[in-house]
Amino acid sequence: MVVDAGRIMLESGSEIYRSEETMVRIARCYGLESIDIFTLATCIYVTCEIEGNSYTRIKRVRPKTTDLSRISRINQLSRDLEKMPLALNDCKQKLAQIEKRSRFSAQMVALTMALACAVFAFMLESCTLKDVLCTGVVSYLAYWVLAYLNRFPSLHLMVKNAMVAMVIALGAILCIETGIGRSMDAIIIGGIMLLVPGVALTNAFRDILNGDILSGVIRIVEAIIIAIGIALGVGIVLFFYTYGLGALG
Amino acid sequence: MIVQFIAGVVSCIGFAYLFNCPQKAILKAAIVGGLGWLMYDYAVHFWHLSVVVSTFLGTLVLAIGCEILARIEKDAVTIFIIPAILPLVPGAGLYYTLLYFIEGEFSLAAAKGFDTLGCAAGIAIGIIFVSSLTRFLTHLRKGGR
Repeated sequence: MVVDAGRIMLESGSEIYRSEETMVRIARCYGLESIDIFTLATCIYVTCEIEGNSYTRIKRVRPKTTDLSRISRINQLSRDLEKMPLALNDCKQKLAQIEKRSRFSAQMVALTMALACAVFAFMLESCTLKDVLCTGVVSYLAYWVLAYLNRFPSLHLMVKNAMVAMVIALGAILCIETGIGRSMDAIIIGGIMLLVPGVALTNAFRDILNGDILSGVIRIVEAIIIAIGIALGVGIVLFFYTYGLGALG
Repeated sequence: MIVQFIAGVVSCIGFAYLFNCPQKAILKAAIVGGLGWLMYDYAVHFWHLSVVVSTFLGTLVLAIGCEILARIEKDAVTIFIIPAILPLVPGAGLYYTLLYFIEGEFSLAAAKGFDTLGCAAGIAIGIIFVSSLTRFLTHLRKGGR
């Protein structure tokens, strides 16, 4: 269960040290004094000693969508456990609840992200008011595509980002061609903000700072992969747009 | 300037929703994020600093803000930093690098590419700087008392 708590946190995007601290805290609350944890961004290794016997657990961590409330709640849970211990089963239940707890509805996120991307496009130089509108619409649609693709955890990160980036680029081109938008740059940049690997980047550096350099490197590579995915997605569409299908010979 | 600040705040609110930020933290992270973006914009347009340095300064401001918020709210710093920092991540840089590359303007692409990487480095250094400072101060407080 301790390992599960750490796993959920990592999957939701917390830093290494935070999930390790949380795991140790929870373990201590249940009487496991001697516990050793090594965490990578992709795997957790835990060893503990109970009455002279060594037990080891290994749990693979597969990144899911970033969920900051989960991190906050599990963190809070571990701190609460220190003050007010819970029975083992109750704790397990709470963890399961946290994991199931629903996020903001996709509709809500789509709308706020559309607004955010539109506003972002607005802040760019070559942007007209119609472009802002286009960005909003394109981002809105792109988010739904992203939400749909997120349901396939086996879909590779690069491919997923490339696909959504293609949708954004195609949407932008559509807006330009129908004459509603003026600046393709602004629409695409606004749309891209949906995909940009801010989480991976930020956590990468915080992990490196805390001494989890390997995990930091893993996250940096993750960010690079995402960036390349975006580049591929937009690049392929733009390439054919600029040079036409005849470019293939 | 107010416009930029509001724009920054709205952007951050969007990202906060994207990452399922806890209710209580959304507005606060957004305000700090808005301040960070304002700093960046100010540095670029009024002080005419490079994008890289401006990103660093923006990150500095918002990281300090986020650490303060985390102490006040007694929660993880992560839930504040992630929504706040996203507007500063160089999406535009990435796009232009790509655009110039496709159009065959390789020297421009290289220049923009360096800018993009530099911005990422700016974010890195900003975060590392503030994080180390915080840890050092916490260490002092715990050691002193």
